[in-house]
Parts: sequence; structure tokens; C-alpha cells
Amino acid sequence: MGNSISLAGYTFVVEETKEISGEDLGLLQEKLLQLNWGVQHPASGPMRLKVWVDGDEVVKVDPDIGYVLRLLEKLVEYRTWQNAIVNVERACFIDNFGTMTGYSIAAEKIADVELPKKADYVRTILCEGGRIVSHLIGLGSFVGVMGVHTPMQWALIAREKFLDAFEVYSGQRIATASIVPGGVRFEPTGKFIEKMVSAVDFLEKEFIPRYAEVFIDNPTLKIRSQGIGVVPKEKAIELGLAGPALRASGVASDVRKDYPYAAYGELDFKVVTKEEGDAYARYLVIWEELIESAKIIRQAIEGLPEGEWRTKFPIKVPAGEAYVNVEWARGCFGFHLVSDGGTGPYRLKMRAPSFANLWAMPEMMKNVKLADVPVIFASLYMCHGDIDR
Amino acid sequence: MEAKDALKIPFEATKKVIRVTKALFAPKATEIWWDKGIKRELHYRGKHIINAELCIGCSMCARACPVNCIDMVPTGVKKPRAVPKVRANECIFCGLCEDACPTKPEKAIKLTDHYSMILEDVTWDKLTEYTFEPENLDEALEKAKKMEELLEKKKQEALKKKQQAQQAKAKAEAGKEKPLAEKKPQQEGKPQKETKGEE
Repeated sequence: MGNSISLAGYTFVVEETKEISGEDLGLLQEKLLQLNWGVQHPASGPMRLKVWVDGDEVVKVDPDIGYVLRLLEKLVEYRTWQNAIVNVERACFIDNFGTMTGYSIAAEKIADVELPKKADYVRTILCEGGRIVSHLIGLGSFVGVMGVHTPMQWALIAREKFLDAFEVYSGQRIATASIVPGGVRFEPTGKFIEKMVSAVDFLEKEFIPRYAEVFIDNPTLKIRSQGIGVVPKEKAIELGLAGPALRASGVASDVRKDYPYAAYGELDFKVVTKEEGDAYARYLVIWEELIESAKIIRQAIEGLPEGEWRTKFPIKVPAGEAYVNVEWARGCFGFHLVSDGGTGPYRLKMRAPSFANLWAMPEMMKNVKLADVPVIFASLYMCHGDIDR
Repeated sequence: MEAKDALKIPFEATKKVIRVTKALFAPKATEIWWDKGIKRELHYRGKHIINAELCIGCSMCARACPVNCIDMVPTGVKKPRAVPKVRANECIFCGLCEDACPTKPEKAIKLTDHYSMILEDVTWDKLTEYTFEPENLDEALEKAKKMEELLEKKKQEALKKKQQAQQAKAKAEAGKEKPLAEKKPQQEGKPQKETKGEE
């Protein structure tokens, strides 16, 4: 009565010989304990994991989401083509440029608008800036869930330089609303480029060597995270993992390389992959992508062409639809945009990478120790705003 | 309590008094930032400034606003028929209203680098009443009224001139009726021939 496990009709094999299901589970309350990991847990963010433990071993994990649901997809239907970006960017505030770029490319595809080259390059610079900002928080929070909060502080110092650059560019630090269908909203001034270069300089000369000395190849960190949450290559594809988590399992999948958008086709960079597929490999993928992104920004700034940065986007867009994938900081972000010939989108469906990673997580958390739950959770590198939308 | 400890009490008390008085005259650990007049960057998106003299009342900003926080307040004048009023409590400072404003070269609605928006004794009613309104609305309205008067005067003058001209023409036509009557049939005759050819 009132037992959520029996209501859901799950069956568990607690002992090898004895299968227990349904009402009998109530008798096992002493043995099987349901823990709420979250909503108030410092590492979980605004979501809850129902964790059933048998002693110290996790039997089953059930994510409970929806605490930050904002109906972004529905809200977009009430906007015009231009100002829908404020809803799209709020999918996740940490890397807001990737989502805005994806939406804008989809809208431009429907309207058949050609972009000036400068807009593509500025988008690339901003997207990579957003990726760095996001990866810095990912690195910091991964070590943070193990109880060491120093790397988070170091990462925030480096992140602050990039936020300063974004502020010079768009006027806001986080919700920048700077990429619109038809280009980018502001001119990339010399001061912005200067700030961006100084931020990348700080990242490459101060942050990366200092951080690498302490928190990369760290023996304590390795003991804690190596061999935990292992996903082999075939299973990663089967589960539908996305982003750094997929690349850590040895699948070289990167939309920037496979289907280049913005100016990625003209820039030289490599896709970071690892073979191990455990939590430490995912951490290292984030780390190496950070270094790679800094190189991309330098290349894009060097190759920044002159000219216009914004073209005219029609108020009414002809009927049609487009599906666009962009490589967001947390993986492949899909936008299915439909137009019915009106002044705004008819429907927008966002395919979120964090959501895909979340539902792969219960599979990875079977038969692990309870203390490994936060480590696997943080290594999957998810964003709650992205999960709920 | 021993005698030694009892002797220490006045000594420590004076120490504390000295420390407190020192702290009173020491420089502040925290700064009152809104007095400093810190300048933000070029595109900083802060408080709105609405220039009623430049505004043409097209309500493009109200349409561009993603959160519908801009109301168009009717002015009673013709030229800016309505002037935007921004509900500051709901504004998300995205700056899309500035993008949409069609006035050139200077925009009628602008986001400035003033970011100090402090309300004292805040209640919900006060917050909802907090708006950014056009600063020079009265002057602009006076100007607009004057302009309207001027325009009306000009119109009336123009009307008078027209009437005079018509009267003059009528007089002139009365004098030259015969030559006009000869020309007219010739002009009308040409198109008639063309239409016949087409048929």
C-alpha cells in the first residue's frame, strides 16, 4: 500500500535464487532502502534521484525531473522570429550561444537568407567562448562533488575573464541575447577582440598549466574516478549518449566536424576522444576540449573578415521546416523549427543532449556503490535547464 | 575567581574600548557602489531612456518586446500618437526594443549604462508601479502642439491661397473661353482613335 515500487510494478532480483515482485517488496523494507538524492543535495541541482540501495550497493535509480520546467518550446510560439532568442537561450544559461546559433541557422534555412562571412566568424568565436565557460564549470563541479572546492574557484576566476568579454560585446554577462536570425546583433569591436584575446591568454598561460599541475593526472582523483561508470563503445551508441560522454567512449562524433556550420569548416581543430569510457575519461575529454576551443578562438580571431555582421531578416517567413544540429557544450543539440508563414515560429522542438544523457544514467548506475552516484552524475556533464526546458 | 583575574578585567575592558573606537574611524570595508558612478561598457543594457521628441509613436518597440512589458500610452497629440512606457519590474533588459526602433540616426528608446534602480520600502504595488517613462514628455507635447498649430496655420494659408488662385483662374478662364473650347476636342479625339484601332 502506497509503495511506489509496487505501484510501478518493478521486479528486482535481490538474491540470486529468490525473485521478489509486487506486494512482497513491502516486506523487504529493512533490506531495500529508498533514498532521495536531491532536491536539496549540493551536487544534484534542481532535480531528484530516487536511489534504491541494498546496503551500500545501488539497485535502481529513477530520475525525477521537472523542477525547472519553463515551457520554453511553447513560449517560442508566442514570439516573433527575432525575439524568440530570449527563450531559446534560456535552455541553459551557461552556454547560451550554442542554442541561439542553432535556432538562428534553422530560421535562416527556412527563410533562405544568406549570412555575411563576418557573422559566421563572430558566431564561432562566441560559441567557443560559451563552450569554454561551460567546460570550466563542468571541470570545477566534477572535482567539487568529491569534496574539493578549490578547482571550482580557479575555474570561476578564468570564467570571469570570458564573461567580461561577453559584457563588452553584448552588454550582459550571461543572458546575452546576441545572436539573432540574420547574423549577430552587435559589431565585434576592437575592445571585444582585445578582451577575448586577453581571456584566452589568461586561460592558456595561467589557468591551464596551474590546473594541469594539480588536478589532471592527480592520483587521488584517479583512484576515485577511474573504472567507475564504464560505458563501452557499443553500449554508448545504444544508450544514445551525447557530447563529451559519447566521445569518452571512443566514438568520434562531433557536429562541428561532421556537418560543419558557422565557420567551423574553415578552421583546423581535432575531435577529442578517449577509449576508456569511465568517469575519468569523460573528465579528460572536457579538459582537452577546453584547450582545443582556445585554439579555435585564436584561429577565428585571426581569420575574422571585414564587412557587415547582420543582414535583413524578413518579418514574415515562408512556410516550411528545418532541422539543424549544433555541437553545444554538452553535446549535439537539435532544433526542429516549423514555420506556417507567420511572423513567428509555429513550433520549435529542441532535442537536448543532457536529456539523452540523463536517461542513460540509470543503466550506468546499476550495481555501483552509493558514494559513486555523485561522481557518475557529475561526469555525465548535464545541465538541468537543458533537461527540463 | 582569583585576584589575578579580577585585576585583568579593567585592563581588557579598556583594550576593547580602544578597539571599538579604532574601528569606528577606520575606512569602510564595504563600498557604497551606487555613489561611485561606475561606467559600464559600450553596449551595457541598463535603464531605458525614452526620448519623446524623437519618438514617432509607431509601437515597433512594444511589438518587439519578448515579455510584453512596453505599453504605448496615448498622448492626445497627432505626431507621437502614443509614447512607450516600460514596466521595469517585468523587463529583462534584452535590448530588442532598441533594435526595433526605426528613428535615425538617434534611437528614441535606448538602453543606457545606468544600472542603479533602487526602490526604498518596496512592496509589490510599488514594484509594479515602477516604470521608465519618457523624461521630456511635457516639452515634447508642447512642441508637438505648437507644430500642429503651425501646420494648421499653414494649411489654412495654403487653402486661402488655393481659393484665391482658383478665383483668379476662374476669372482668367471667363476671359479666355473660346481658345480652350477649340483645344479640347482635339485632345479627346486622339485616344478615341487608338481604342478604335485596338478593337
